[in-house]
Amino acid sequence: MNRDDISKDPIDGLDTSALVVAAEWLSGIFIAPMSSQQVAQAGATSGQNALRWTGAQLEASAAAETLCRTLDQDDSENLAVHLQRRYTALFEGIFRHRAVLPYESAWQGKDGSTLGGESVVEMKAILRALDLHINTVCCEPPDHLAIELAALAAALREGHDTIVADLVRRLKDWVPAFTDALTRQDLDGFYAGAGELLLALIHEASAALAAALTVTNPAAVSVSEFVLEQREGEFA
Amino acid sequence: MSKKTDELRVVSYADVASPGRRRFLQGSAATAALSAMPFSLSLLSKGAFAQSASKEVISGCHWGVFKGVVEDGRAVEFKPWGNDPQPTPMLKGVRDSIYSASRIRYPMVRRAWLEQGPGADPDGRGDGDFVRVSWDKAIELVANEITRVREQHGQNAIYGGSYGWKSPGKLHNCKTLLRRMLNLTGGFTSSIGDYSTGAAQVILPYVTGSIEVYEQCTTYPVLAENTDLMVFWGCDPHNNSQISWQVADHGAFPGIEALKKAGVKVISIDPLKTLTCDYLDGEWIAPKPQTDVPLMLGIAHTLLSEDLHDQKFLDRYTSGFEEFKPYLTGESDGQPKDADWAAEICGIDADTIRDLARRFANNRTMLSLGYSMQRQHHGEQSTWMLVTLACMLGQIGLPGGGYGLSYHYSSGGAPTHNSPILKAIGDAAGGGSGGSVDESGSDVMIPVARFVETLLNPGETMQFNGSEIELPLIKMAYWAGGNPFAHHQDRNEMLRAWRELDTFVVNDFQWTATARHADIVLPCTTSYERNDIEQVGDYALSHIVAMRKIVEPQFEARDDFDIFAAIADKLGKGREFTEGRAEMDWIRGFYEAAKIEARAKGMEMPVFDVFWESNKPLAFPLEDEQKHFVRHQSFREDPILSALGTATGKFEIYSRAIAKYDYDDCPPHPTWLEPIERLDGPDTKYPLSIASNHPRGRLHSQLCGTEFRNTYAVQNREPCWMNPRDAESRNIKDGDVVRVFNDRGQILAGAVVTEDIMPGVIRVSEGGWFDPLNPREIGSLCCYGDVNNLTPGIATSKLSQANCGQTGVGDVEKFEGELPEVLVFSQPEIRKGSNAAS
Repeated sequence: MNRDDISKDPIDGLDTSALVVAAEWLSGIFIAPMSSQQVAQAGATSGQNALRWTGAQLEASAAAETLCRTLDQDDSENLAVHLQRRYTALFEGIFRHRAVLPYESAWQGKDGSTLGGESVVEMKAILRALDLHINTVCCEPPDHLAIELAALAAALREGHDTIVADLVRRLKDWVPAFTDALTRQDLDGFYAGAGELLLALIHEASAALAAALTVTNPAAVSVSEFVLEQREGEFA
Repeated sequence: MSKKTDELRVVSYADVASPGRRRFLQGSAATAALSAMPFSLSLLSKGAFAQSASKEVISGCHWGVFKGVVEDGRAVEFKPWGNDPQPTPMLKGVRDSIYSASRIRYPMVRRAWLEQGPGADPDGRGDGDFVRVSWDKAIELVANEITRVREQHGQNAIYGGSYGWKSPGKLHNCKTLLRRMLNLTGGFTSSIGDYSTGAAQVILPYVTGSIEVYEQCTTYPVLAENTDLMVFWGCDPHNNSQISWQVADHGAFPGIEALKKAGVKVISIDPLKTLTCDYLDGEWIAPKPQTDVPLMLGIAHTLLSEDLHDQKFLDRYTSGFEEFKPYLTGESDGQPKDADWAAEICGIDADTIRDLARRFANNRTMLSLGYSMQRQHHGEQSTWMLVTLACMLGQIGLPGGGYGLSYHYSSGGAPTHNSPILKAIGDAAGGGSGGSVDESGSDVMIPVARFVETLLNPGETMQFNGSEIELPLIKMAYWAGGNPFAHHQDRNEMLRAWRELDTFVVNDFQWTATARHADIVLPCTTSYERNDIEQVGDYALSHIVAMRKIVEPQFEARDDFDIFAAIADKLGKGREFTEGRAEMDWIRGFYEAAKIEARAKGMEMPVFDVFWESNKPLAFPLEDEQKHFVRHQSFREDPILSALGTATGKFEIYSRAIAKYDYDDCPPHPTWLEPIERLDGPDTKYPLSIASNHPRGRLHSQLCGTEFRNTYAVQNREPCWMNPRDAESRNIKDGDVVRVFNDRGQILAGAVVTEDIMPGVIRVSEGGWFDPLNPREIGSLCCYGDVNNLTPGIATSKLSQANCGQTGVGDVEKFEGELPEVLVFSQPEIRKGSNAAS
């Protein structure tokens, strides 16, 4: 596959399909431990192809390849147990490893470790703007990484550029610290790899947004410059 | 695009007809990638939820009445109720308990237990390898395990004696709800007594005829008006009255203020300079810990030898002084318990002891005793001796004199209002909602502090309060609303004992050490995520407050009521458990019953809906008689008609009942018995006594896992107070991390070097969360500072079988190695400058 295969919106000049795919894939990865069926599906040829394609679109082939290698390491049952253990250790807040809590509040709030921060209310507003709500089967607050990513995918699909920009900005504000900790706790692990892919997604979304803003609205150049400045810092 | 995809993954590509929408899924590669994704869960659905209005919701908790400020469904602040005389700063931590990083979010099962069955890899408890399961699965596992254990080992192999400071509220009393479920579905082994007053509440019925420790004292207005000398003996109401078992009224604070304004002279007898002593500018007398009985005996001997005692009172209102006197004088054992003898043991010079006796006798003196002294080896003796001392002074039943055993607890001494008593959900066997020795819960009961001993010695016989208990074999334990990995002593012995369990189930909302050591963990709501009803003030009973839900349940948390109802239902008793009533039906029922009682008292309470929607506590009047209540006044006025509940109807300084038990560790009159170890004790190995007082910034272990910990922690460790002399000799400076150790265990703590503690004593408050460096290793270093690694698990005596949390010695050294992180609170690691803006 190559990027030419992907449709481009002639109006926005913005290629969002890979971003949507990545956001949805990562949302699924971070929302809960994977079942053995999900691990089997992710590790199947079609699943790995999708992952490699996504990595290629995000210029993060190495990260995708790392994830594929993990998915090839063992049969799906054993691998699922391994990944469930890692998920619990990393994200459930139990212990022996520092929890890498997948909530914006935990990384942005004045209180440091406290959940339920202002980002919960801000994300609720974003979901309202997208005319969405959290499905009743999901009991996570709206500033959970997976929900922010799901919202990003929805905003990209709907063409809500302002909301996309807002979501990308907030993800940029807290995800680097989150992935930084994830890399330390899960060295060479599956979730650290997912974290790399996540950073690539934010990077590409940021770049695409900057490009779109520049093309469609030269007056927005200051915003564009802001985004590019961010790239040179964390993402470059 | 078909609308069938609405519930597939992220919702929004259902409605691509919108003209401005991007056509991004036309590419075959993207479509293929999406279709290959393994996730079918739809996190978002179409349709926005309306923004909820900001509101302030009345509720209550152990820390007081408050209003939860809610913005768009999020609790942003807990504001103290305007009528609270002294709100506690801990309310900030209370709010944080909803949003703590250590919140349990999903039902979890320990992997070894789940995959290999009950009893698998017991050493692995606490190492964190949990599997998230659905609620249906979790309920099924618990119900099936209850059935299995009962079938294989008998009813009593299930321990449902769960104990702890569960949240207040008449419905969501998880301890009662657990017993209700177990009672309805079969039998279980329960507990008797509590960790706070385990010795006092057993000895006092023999001495004064009731448990006393949870009963009203002479009120503060009476003290302010009549008391000349207020003696706080191991008693710190200014600290401990921040909390109450029910909803705190904080009535002790205006009471203490009244003492201050009245100029009541205050003496504080305590190894630590208490907040109360400090606030009232009291005289601080610091005996060696665990030597209060010799000090009291020395005072008593002086009273007797200088004829300062009230013989008329002793003759009319007490029995057994004549049997006690030979011990006091030394006639029976050759050792007069005089001030010089006492001085050698307690470290207070003899002249001071004699002076105390004279001042006590020559003034209207109130002796207020805390609980710490009876949480020591032979702890029954200090309570008994204090009552004996008060009998000798002869001021019991007079305004402002005598003794009080609850001034530090739940604002004892705050006058009782004329209020009906709210009923509570029952345990289906007649048990109430308290935790004391007068409460029954099941057929087989063990003293609450002897659970570890029971696990390690099934089939053996234990003496308890004049009876024998055959210790049952326990294979399953269920805890709700408690934290035994904080409140039980000798943590390492406990870890060994826990390995005897096949299954340990815990309901909690935070990953406490107890939850971490469970096999099945069920996440429950905080009391701020459900509705309930409670009275304000354990003694004051000044209001009924609607404990209204502040926010919706977080994550997958469920109410304990719903959890136990589901388990009962799985065991065929769901209807019996709920009685067909939902949460608000129960609450309304409690209120309506109180309304009927109030009417009988000549008061008319508003109808329930008006009360509930008023968003205000419902006030009850304070009548003059109760405002000026004097403990034991009626007994003093008429000792026949108002006889005490003892065998003789009088204060018993000698107990024939206890004499018959013939216990070697609880003689029939107050006696000085050497504890197993103490500061400067004859066989004591370590040089420092360990005071494990109630903490200043927590309720036992509650709030340790919240942001409020930052207000007192030292390098994120539990504070360890040390006198400068002890610190200097060990090259320890304020703020250093220290290792506190003895033969039972070792902890890290943060040194607080202060003159507010006597030399030879350190203070590490109880309730610090246990954080073993290696959970699989018994004896591993506790990185945060759980003092019960150091305290002994022995019983006070055969009479009470209570805990000895205030008995313990150890040593302290500056920690020099690589400092291990504190992991128990599970904060994310935040590095400054690591975000994108840097």
